[in-house]
Amino acid sequence: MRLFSFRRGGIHPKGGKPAAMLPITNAHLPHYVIIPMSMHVGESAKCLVKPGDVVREGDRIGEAVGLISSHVHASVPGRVTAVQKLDLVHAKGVECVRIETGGNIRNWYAEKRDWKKLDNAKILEAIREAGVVGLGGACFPTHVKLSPPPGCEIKDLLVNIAECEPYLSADYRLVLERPEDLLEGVRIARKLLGNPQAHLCIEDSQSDLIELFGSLLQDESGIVVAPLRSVYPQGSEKLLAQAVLRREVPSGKLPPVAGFVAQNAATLVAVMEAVVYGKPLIDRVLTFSGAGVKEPGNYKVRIGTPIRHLAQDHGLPSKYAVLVAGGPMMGRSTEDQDVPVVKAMNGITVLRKKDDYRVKNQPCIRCARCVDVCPTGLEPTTLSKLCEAMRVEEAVSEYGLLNCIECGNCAYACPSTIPIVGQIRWGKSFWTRQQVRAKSS
Amino acid sequence: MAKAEGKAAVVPFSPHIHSGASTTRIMWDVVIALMPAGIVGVWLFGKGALVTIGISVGTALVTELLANLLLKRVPTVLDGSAVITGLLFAYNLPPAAPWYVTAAGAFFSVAVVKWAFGGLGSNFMNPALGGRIFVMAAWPAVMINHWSLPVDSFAAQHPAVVANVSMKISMVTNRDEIVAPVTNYLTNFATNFLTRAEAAAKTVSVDALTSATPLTTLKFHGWDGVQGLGFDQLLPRFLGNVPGCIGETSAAALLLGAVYLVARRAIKVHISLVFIATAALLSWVFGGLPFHSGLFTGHPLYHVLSGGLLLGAFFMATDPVTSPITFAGGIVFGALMGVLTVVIRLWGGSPEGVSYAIVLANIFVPFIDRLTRGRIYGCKLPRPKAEAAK
Repeated sequence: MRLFSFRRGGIHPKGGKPAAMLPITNAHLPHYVIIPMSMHVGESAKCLVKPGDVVREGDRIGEAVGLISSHVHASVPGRVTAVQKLDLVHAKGVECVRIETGGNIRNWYAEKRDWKKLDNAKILEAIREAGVVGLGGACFPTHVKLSPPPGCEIKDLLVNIAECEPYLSADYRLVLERPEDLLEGVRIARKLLGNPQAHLCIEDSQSDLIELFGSLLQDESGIVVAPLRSVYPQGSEKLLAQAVLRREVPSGKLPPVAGFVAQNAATLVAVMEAVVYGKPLIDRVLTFSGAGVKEPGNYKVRIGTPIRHLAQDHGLPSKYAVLVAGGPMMGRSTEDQDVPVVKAMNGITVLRKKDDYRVKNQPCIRCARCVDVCPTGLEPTTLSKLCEAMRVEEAVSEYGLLNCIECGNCAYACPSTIPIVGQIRWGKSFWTRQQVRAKSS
Repeated sequence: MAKAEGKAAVVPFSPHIHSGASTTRIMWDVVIALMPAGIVGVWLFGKGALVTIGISVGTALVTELLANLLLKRVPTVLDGSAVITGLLFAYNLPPAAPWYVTAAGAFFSVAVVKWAFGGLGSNFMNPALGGRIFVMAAWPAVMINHWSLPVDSFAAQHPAVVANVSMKISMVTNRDEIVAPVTNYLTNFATNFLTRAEAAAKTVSVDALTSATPLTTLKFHGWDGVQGLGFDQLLPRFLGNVPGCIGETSAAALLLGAVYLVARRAIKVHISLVFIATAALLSWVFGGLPFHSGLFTGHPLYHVLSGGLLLGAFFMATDPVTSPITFAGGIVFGALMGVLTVVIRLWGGSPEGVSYAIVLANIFVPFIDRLTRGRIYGCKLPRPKAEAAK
């Protein structure tokens, strides 16, 4: 079997997938949920409720503002008890609605719609109504992503099932248990994009998925399986294009310019649910795992569930080191168990103190391991030194600071434990602030 | 938001896991890899070699400690880098080097070449080689004249002692097996070693022990001075039984260390291989020219096994701080050193070219790095496109 892969660098991070064999179970309904008005790229939603309001499951409580924005829905039935600004994992001072759970759960799968009879505008409207955003972590509004700008011919659709981070197995289990739902989502997306060739991007460590789709797709044209080498960060959108399509996204531009669109598998399942059943995005599958968790699991969780609620069911050790929203390579850490599950959260990874990445303050010895593992072809050691010396202009124009995808390979491999990704992020934010200042003056 | 129960040591940004690689471990791996060459050096050249190594490493450590204290840095004495500098500097000295030469050179390597430029990671040339060049300039007589004879030649001059010891040994080892030449050789080697030990106990004068190194012989007496190039003559050069610096004579011991380093993935070995290959190729092509025997008449194996080429290629050219960070840059770097080594050896004033070759190439490294930058994803050239700024 021929495996696709990106060209340079890559690592095999420690961790494995301890939850891969565990089927998805529904998490218990939480007593309350905290639903942020911004869980997506673009403008925050405008809050439509106030304390005291009674809401049903699936009611719209936040209205999208402008084109690049998304609706927000109540994930449980109940009463709104508070609307306040809170600090979350991905942003600070976000307006959030707190709902105390109470009332009847709806059955979303009662009525089916025949989407093939609808025109594209109606399908996109259904997706927008449901508040579907990219569930791979970036949370870009899907109705925008699936309507490419005129003049961009989309030749390929990459269905991203390459869950390359260690510990995460949510997408894998979802696709393994609901392959037909995924395929239906793929067909809907293909219709919207003008029938591009669809590639199901699956890592070879998930060979059962590759075989499963091999047989399901025998009579279907337009969708093929693209087996990938299992190496991190295979699931990065830009690198997938280099691996499977042999094309690259030009520096500074977006995928449609290179003639493709990439969508996460869970997003396409949500698209299917929105279009066929009219179900809004009120839950998602995530993996609760990590070296600090004895019994991991894959859970279907309501959006807004506080992490504490999941942790309680698991016996989280009292002395864990890091609670990471996402995978250990690119996730964000938090000390606060009261933060809610947002649309982007594909996993909660608990690491022990000894897995903790400790910065030792040793100097760079130019061993060049970072250069060897960087999939984008950058020189992380040079970028690190330039950012530390505040020579950000040079880093951007000469060494490609803005091209960094922040995958973390460099910092993972560095024997002196230099926090390279942190320095690069600082450099990028410094650059952005400078640009903003320059524009406004 | 309420604070969570259970104390957590939060790492503020990703990635939150690490490969476990450690700079200290890399350094100590290099020290371990240098052990075989040192042990063989002491075995071949006796107590003088051990004393030189001891003074060198000791001075290096003390200098490192002083630098830490004076510059108010976190103590780096135990991170292995000072030990490496001490060992490598000693391996570049003749066994009978005077103590003040060793100490001055080790001090210079650590204090000036390394710490005056900012410490680990900031030196622009290899510290041990910097020290060696300093010593060569300050005490030229030492480096030219103080070569010790290894055990074989000494034994040839004292047959009576040989016979005595040889009898004792042959009672233990008396085999005629497949690898007869090597077995015989090693038996003789052991005999001679013990002979020398016995003689040393009777305090023979130092002068009787000196001789010229293979490369000096080649430069000043031509191929005729070098007695033959067959297996019997090359084997001693492989095992180390020739006059030379403490750590550079035994190709076998150095290769053992190199294999360890490659297995531990501690060095940029492509640099070493290109260096050796280039030097071998060029010494084959041009090696006969100084002796007017035309092109393609050189003896690459002799050149590779002589002088500090293997020590330099595996342990000094691959010093991560002073070598390029790109793979292509490493190839260019290795080739440059190969060229410079052969040019200096064949046409330069000095019989040995590796130290100068490495240091000259070190100076070119920033330039080599700029020239060999890789292509960035999404761009056609190494630099990102001008309109990438968003």
